[in-house]
Amino acid sequence: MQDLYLVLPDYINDTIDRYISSMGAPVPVKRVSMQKGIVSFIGDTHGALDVTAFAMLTEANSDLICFVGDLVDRGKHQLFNLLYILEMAMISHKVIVVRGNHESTLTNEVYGFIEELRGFDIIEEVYPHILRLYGKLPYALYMDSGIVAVHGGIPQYGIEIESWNNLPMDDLEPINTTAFEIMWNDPREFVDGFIPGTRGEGTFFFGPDAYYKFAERNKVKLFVRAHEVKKQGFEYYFNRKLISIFSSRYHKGKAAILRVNVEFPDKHEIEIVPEPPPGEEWVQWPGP
Amino acid sequence: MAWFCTKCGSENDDGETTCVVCGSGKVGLIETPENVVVNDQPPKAQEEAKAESIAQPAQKAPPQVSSPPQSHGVMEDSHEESSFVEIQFVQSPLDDIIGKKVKLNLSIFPSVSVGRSPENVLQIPDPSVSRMHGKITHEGKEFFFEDSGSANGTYIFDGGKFNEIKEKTKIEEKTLIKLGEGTIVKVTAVKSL
Repeated sequence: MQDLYLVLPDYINDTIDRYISSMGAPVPVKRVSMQKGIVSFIGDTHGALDVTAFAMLTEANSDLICFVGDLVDRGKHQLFNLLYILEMAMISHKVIVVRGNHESTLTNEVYGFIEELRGFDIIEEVYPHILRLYGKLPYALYMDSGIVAVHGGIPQYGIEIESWNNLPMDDLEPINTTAFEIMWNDPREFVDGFIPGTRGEGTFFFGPDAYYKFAERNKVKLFVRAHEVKKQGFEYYFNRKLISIFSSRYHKGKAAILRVNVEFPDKHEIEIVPEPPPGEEWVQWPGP
Repeated sequence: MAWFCTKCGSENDDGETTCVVCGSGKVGLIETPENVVVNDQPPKAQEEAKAESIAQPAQKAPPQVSSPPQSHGVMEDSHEESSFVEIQFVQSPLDDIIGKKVKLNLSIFPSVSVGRSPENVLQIPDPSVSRMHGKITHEGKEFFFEDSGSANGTYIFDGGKFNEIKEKTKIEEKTLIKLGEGTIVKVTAVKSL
């Protein structure tokens, strides 16, 4: 890859910095007032630049496009995937990026992003800007119409979304346990309340009772999250009130895109991104 | 070329010689089925039988003519009055078995084995679970879980966290047991005669 492109740290930093200033004052919960229209959600892309590009094409008519975290680590084009999404966000004015557990210093070293940046030999110059970006990304998207999107799930303490507004920003791991759980927790149908998860210290599974309590308290009609590999690209939980969406290709499963009618969150469709043709590496755009 | 595990059905890269999910060995292409010694019924059928025994209690599992009745601990006929422990998979690396319930009969043998290898009464497809992980025993009116020196341990939930068990520990309805690092089962029903 580094043989094919001229990778200029100044240009990369410029993109990141412009995106940060375009976000305005960073907020832990990005609120959107939208009474009707279509909002599209894309789950973990993990460097799947082809899926991202496909989604930007097929979702071009949506009023809002939300990437639910995990843009980097694992896949093939992590840096370019991140930069492409940031540039598209600034061009289109309708892309929102929610922070995932891979937008963190905890994971980049282990899962490949640091290695990719080292390969380009730009880590010293670029990574500090990327970390600044991580610290400014919102933990959640909260739409007035009752749609919530976070990367992981609901936290054990902090059942009111309003209270999430007090979460500290520029928390690179994050150290704050509520912020950490929002990015790491997973839903499970057969769990009562919260139980410690299997992803490691500080992660939890939450069950239907915990979810319904949260949904009632915050008037949530549809909860969108990503974070887990789904062979089919998506999975419903809790009577279809929670959707887990996954949009990467490194795991060789399906990549999915979720499209929701803001007025009627129950009316949503899931688009499965087509597989690349045999012998080819990239997802192809739809024909004319 | 990727290969599919004959035990749990997971897809594995060609370089893997054992299944990354359940740890079973790869069955080579040159081996004909006759040459492969299978000690018990294929786990898929076993899983189905387990699932059936729960889903359709009145219907007997199809008779397994070719294989000896190795799965003696898994109940296939709930008409019989017997002591049992019913468990449900709450978390597993294998998505498909999350939510599945298994009823373990402890009337005939008061001890059933739990582990990753197929000779266990309750086989757990999880690489972090030991081949012989532990056993569930029935003593008096009570049921216990005992770890058989597993590599990654057995943990019981106390309402706040999972605590590793070092000796035989009582289990009852609603007990959550974590096996190794990736599997959590819940005791959904117990009956002691």
